[in-house]
Amino acid sequence: MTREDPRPLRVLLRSRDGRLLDLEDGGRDVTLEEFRARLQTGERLRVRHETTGGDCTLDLLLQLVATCLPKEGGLLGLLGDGGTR
Amino acid sequence: MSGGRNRKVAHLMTLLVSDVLTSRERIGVEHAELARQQRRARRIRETIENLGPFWVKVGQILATRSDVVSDAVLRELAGLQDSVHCEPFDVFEPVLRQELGPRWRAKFREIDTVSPLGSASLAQVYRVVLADGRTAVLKVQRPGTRERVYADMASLRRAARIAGRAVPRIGAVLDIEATLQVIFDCMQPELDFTAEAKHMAQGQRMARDFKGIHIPDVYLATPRVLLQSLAPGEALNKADLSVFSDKQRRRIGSDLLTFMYRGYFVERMFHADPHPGNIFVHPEHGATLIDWGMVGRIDRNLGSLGVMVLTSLAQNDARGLASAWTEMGRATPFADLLGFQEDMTRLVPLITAAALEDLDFGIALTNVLRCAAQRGIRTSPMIGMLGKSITNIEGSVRRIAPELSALEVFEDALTDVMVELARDLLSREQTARRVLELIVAGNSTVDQLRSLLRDLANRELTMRVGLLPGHGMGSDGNGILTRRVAPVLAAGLAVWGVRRLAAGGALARGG
Repeated sequence: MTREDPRPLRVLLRSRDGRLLDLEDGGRDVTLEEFRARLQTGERLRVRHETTGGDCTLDLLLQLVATCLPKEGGLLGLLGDGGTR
Repeated sequence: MSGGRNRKVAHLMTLLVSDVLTSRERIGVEHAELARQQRRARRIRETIENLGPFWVKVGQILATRSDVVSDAVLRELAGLQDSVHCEPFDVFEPVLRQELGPRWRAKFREIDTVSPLGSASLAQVYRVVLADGRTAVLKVQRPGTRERVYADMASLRRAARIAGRAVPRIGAVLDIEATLQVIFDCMQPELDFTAEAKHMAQGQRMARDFKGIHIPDVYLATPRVLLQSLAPGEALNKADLSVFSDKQRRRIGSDLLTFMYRGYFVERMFHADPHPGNIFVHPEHGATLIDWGMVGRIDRNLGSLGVMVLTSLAQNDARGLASAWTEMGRATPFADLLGFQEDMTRLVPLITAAALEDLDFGIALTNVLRCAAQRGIRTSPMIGMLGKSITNIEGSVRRIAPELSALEVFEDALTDVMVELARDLLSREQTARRVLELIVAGNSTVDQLRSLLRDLANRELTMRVGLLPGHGMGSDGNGILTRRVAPVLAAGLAVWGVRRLAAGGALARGG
């Protein structure tokens, strides 16, 4: 049966001081903005905590959605202050 | 339609209406009444099977509505058989000629016409070898199917409307038009196999991240002929599971559940009938889902609320579940929302605390659906179908990996679902929509604000406050709030607004 290739799963590391590191890219820092952009391009991402090894993808999603939505869709956006920072 | 057939339809509707009316009482029902319900349920199933393929589909949809029919009917309809005796291949040959042309035989090296793979009331299925040597499955529609089904659809629409008018309670709790639409949508792929082929293409896209989940390839699809690849292995209800290792069994079970959760909540399109006969399993290859004729589709909002419902169930959160469910449905004029919340407060801990590893989402949803109907909350027919699909996949997974916990798999899959939902939220399409909403709001806000201020300045601002009949502080039809408190509240707000405006003006003059 023919089928599309599965999208590879990329695991990022959340360091003790809260930074996001891409170990497959030499431990480079990944900003929240870059995480969002990579998510938008369809990349399959997971985040693991450096200390516990536990999955903390949902924590990062919460942070991302909380950062993006009020700026773009909230009252501030309506009054002209949204999405500029 | 013949008079005899019309009489059978009328008889079926009478039986169903009697069942709906008596199915309200589920506790403390006397033995004699239970026996009567069971006899009636058996007659309903027999009449449906006797009426033919379209009515079998109606029965399958009714089997997803624990909020409408009794437990006895649910049990009977679950065993509804859509299998009939095999017709000789000669009956189907004209269909192949009409659909594939006079040289249709050239496409096949071999057709096993002696022992068809399956025979349903709408189609017959054969194992074939294609001209290039590949083994495949050929599904051919029975001649005259469309005409019969269209006549039955018209008949059902008439009968359902009469039943809805005769028994208003049915019309209030069951969205008759929406339910009919679900039935007709489900029939469409059976009448036009290109629709089933499209479902399979979408299923393949959904399965791309799963190494062990497969959907057959479609080699050829016309409205009445479907040619697809042969699923490796055996159907789950016939497979010898002793040849699978524990790891293989668990992997297949977990993949199946995760794939279905993704269908329900991310893609919002799902296989509506993943029972063991529709899942082929193979130790190395994994699982193949066949028969994509009946699929469920839910919208974005219903999908998100569905995740909320399952998460609330998993977290033993009755209030969260009641709130999400109410939002998913529609409260009828006689709805008792507080009663529903109390039902959930009683039911949810029972479901989750009994045995977390045995939590069965499908059965839990069926129970919630029933409570909602009894408390006058109308639920989308797709939720019934979603509950049935979850029940079926959980039953199938229990067969191959009984030790697997649906709850644990859901918690694992939840991250995957949430990532996909976040991706959707942050997508270009959603961003464009938010921008559009802001533009629309920006265009109208200044006008509306100016109009509001002008009315305030001219002392012409009026406000209307009202409540739905039966709600509010009063127990009478209009509610005391509407008649007495609302005018006082409106007057108070108007006075407050005028005073604020006057004070603002004085300040401005003073400043």
